[in-house]
Amino acid sequence: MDRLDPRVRVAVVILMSILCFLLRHPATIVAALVVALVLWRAVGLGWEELVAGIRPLRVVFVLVIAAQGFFFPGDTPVRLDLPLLGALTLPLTVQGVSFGLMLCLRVLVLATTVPILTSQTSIDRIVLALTRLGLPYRAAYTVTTALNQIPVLRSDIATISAAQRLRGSTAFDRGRFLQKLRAYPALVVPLVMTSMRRATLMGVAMQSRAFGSGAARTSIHALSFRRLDAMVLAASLVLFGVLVTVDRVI
Amino acid sequence: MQALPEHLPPPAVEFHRLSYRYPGSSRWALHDLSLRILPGEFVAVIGPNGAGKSSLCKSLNGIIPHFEGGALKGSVRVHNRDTRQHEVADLARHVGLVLEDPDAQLFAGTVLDEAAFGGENLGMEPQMIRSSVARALRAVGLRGFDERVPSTLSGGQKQRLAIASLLAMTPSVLVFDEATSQLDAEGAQHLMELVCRLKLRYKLTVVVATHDMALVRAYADRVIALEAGRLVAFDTPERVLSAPAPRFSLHRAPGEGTRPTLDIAADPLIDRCGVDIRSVRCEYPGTVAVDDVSATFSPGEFAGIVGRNGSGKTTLFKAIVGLLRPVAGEVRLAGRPVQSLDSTDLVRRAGYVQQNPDHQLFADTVWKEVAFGPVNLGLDRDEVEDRVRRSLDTVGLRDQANEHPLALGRSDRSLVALASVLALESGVILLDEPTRGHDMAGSRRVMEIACSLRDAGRTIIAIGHDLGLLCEYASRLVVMDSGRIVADGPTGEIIESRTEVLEAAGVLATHRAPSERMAVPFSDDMYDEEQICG
Ligand SMILES: Nc1ncnc2c1ncn2[C@@H]1O[C@H](COP(=O)(O)OP(=O)(O)OP(=O)(O)O)[C@@H](O)[C@H]1O
Ligand SMILES: [Mg+2]
Repeated sequence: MDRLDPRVRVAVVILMSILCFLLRHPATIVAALVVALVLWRAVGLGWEELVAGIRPLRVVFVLVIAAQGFFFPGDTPVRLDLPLLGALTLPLTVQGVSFGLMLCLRVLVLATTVPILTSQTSIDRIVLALTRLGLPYRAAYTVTTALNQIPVLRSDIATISAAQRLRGSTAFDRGRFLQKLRAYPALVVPLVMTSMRRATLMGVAMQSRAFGSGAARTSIHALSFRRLDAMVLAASLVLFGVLVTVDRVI
Repeated sequence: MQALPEHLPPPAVEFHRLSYRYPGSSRWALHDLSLRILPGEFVAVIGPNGAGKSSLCKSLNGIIPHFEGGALKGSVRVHNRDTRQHEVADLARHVGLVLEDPDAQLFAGTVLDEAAFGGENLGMEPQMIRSSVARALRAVGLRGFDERVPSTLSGGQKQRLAIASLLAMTPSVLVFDEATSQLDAEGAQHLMELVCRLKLRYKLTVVVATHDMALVRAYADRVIALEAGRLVAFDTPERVLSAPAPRFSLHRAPGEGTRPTLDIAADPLIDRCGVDIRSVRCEYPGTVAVDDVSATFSPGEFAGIVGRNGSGKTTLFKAIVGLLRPVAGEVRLAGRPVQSLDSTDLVRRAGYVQQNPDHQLFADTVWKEVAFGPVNLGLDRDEVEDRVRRSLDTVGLRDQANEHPLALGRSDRSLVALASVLALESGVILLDEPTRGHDMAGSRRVMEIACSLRDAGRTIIAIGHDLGLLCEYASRLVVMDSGRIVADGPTGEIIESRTEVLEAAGVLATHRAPSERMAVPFSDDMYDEEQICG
């Protein structure tokens, strides 16, 4: 699937993102999520990567659901019938909680969609696709480089936490949740520092290789729109139409 | 400056009374520099750390002053273009600058895209880019690496890629700012020979800032010697470096007076802390990096590890400290498997100074950086302070205690990393290319510190590419090739009787005399006649 034309990838990702905001029914959003997961596998990504990508969002999800449950206008409180404690009324509303759940679902769809753009393909090809779709080169390069920083950040975190562990920090040993929480600032501050430093140095390195010179840019990659591309694009458009229509009807 | 004789060609580079001051600094980093470099000349830039070598290099493609800011007087002209009147990106067509730290220069998704980036920006024909990229990658020994992600390369491989990315742009002035510091001897030699061929054939102008005097002697036509930003000499290597350096000085005892004394408290655990590597095999997706390696290192021993770029040296270190879990075999530190140690137990046993010091600096002052380990070890305040002060004194950074580690120069950053490990007072100390980026005095200082640690009963293992330097200090030499140990024994024995192994492992440079080099056939058509020089 790495032969897929990057322009098709861009189109698919844009369609999925629109769906995220357009769909209003939980069933259709779940359907969109299923589509995103199928695409995830189709471009050659693995489940471990999915788990690794979503795991950091756990806390956010819990917070969003709790906050919406608490603040969202609604009048049906959430009741839990617990076997030993009896009925328990939480200060959350059903409407709020379900709104929160919907939000989380949308975020989930987005989170599984975006990596499809850059997986198993060279950034250069994506940049090329974006420029062919009319984006100025600098903007296209900035967007894709920014996307590509996500794995870079992840490896930075690994580097910094390894260095801290090798100097006796126990925060990264197994099962030290509270310590981990306390170690976060110690992780985030250097992370920001290194990222900023790298950004500056990278700017220098890129200009030293004529980035932004007056010349018309060429690319060693050629884009060719083939049958597979046409099929994927058509299928995406049809699915898009179906989901939106179904969403309006139910 | 005297007028140029009539018959000389116009200079490739001309500095005219150049002075430069970094923003926020009161001192001139470069002071009233005037000199001319001719097309087709190989010029080495030498001088102690902080002498202004990097500033000189960065002024050649306009990073100084366009990026750095600061105050610039006088002028730099490259092929008659004033660097102040041209953007860095435009000068890049003529000047290729490779910096020391490869991590900061690689940003593309694959090796191929990385090397093609420059050509694409110049608007070269895709076909032409492909062929010049292929030639450049082959020239630096990275053939077959096209689809690799640059961040997964070894340190030396990254440096090779950074060099190839500039070579592929076929500049007419090539500038290396310590860009070969992590290359193995064979790789550095091949690269220099290539550069010399390009120089003879296409009048490529080469400017190389380096601490490697063997390289300067073997390849430079002229040498720029800097000291505190001033030009102290610009002449042939023979005249600038009067005393020839011996290639190996095996049995010379280093000056005892310079060795720092370390008072480290005796610790029964640490005093018998050795490393026991048993049939270790480490893999990355698609590569076997360390293959069935067994070795033991004992307290009071100083061992050196040498080997080609990518031979698995760093990977072995990562396995020793448990950063990487071997797929087979195990590592024991003071008798316990490393994977079973919690972090406190681990750092009491082993301290690791990484190949790129920036990977282990994360605090906002030098003092806090060094104190991080002792604080984690739960030492009381006085003990922490004491250790930090001693470590900083040992590396000579006491006055910089309140500065930000990342704001220091390269060699000082690596000293901070070293100090932060010294403060742990671990039993085993692993040093991954500890002298890289240091001038001679600095390198010796680092080696002397390692010797003091050894004398204090520590186990020292150091990776290095400067075989001569390593041989002076390490009593045992381990040679790695393609993930395996191919020789392991007393240094003298290996140097004297295992030359063919050293040669096969790519750690011996055999710099030819210039006259012989001229005879090297032009096998690689890196540059196209009409591509060069604009
Ligand atoms: N994260 C990684 N993923 C895949 N391959 C890797 C990774 N890190 C290293 N390698 C590969 O493993 C091999 C050994 O790498 P290692 O860093 O141990 O080499 P080294 O001997 O330290 O080289 P150098 O002298 O360049 O520092 C190399 O071929 C390298 O490309
Ligand atoms: Mg290494």
